[in-house]
Amino acid sequence: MIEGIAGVVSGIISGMGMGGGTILITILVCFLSVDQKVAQAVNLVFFIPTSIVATIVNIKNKQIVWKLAIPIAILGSIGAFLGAFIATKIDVKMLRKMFAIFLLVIAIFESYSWYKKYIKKA
Amino acid sequence: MHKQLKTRNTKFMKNKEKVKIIFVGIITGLLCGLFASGGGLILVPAYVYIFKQNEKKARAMSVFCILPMVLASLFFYNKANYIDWKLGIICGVGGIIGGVIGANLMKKINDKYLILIFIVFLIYASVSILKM
Repeated sequence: MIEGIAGVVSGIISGMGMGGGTILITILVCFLSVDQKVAQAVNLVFFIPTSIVATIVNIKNKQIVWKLAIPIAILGSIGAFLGAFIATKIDVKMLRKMFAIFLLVIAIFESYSWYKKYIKKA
Repeated sequence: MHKQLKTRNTKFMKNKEKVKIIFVGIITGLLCGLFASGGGLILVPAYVYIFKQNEKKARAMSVFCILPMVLASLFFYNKANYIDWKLGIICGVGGIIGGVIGANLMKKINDKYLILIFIVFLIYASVSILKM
């Protein structure tokens, strides 16, 4: 039941176009004591159905610039292949620490763009 | 002479663009595979600020690009038996409901404050994971 609520919360965040995946993993790891790697795998599965639907709609609406999208999709897949290999091999505590630092970096980055978008321009 | 310079200049610009694409693609993919999240948080600003696309297109392209990255990642997560289908389906159903609510809320709520809440949550989460 709580897992379902975690899904709803991160779905709301995703629907608003922010990082729903990071929220889902965090809730699962911090509050529900799910293993970091299992939580990450859940997020991968979680992403597929909605993104397929969204992509079909986006292609129909001509929102995709192919020459910018295809190469990044291909190179990204190669990178992801490597990244996922590392993720499944390294110690889970180590991965969790790296994830925490990753969250912190995102927070700093988001703060900077928030400042640029709302304070500097206003 | 001038024409020659111009073609050399555009060639240089094209190469620069290629380097940017390679860099963004590989970095996003690596992080996406490693943390199974955060791809959009990198790709959307990259498309907006580096490749000068509008926000709507940036979001559309980031979802499109992350899909194959997720599938590539799943290969190893599946191989190492980390996929909990029951948990995935429960969260997935919640996610669909939440997604519809979120998409509707987006039109009504000012994201100036929402992003602030998101930032505070990220910092709180990061600290509590580091303490674990």
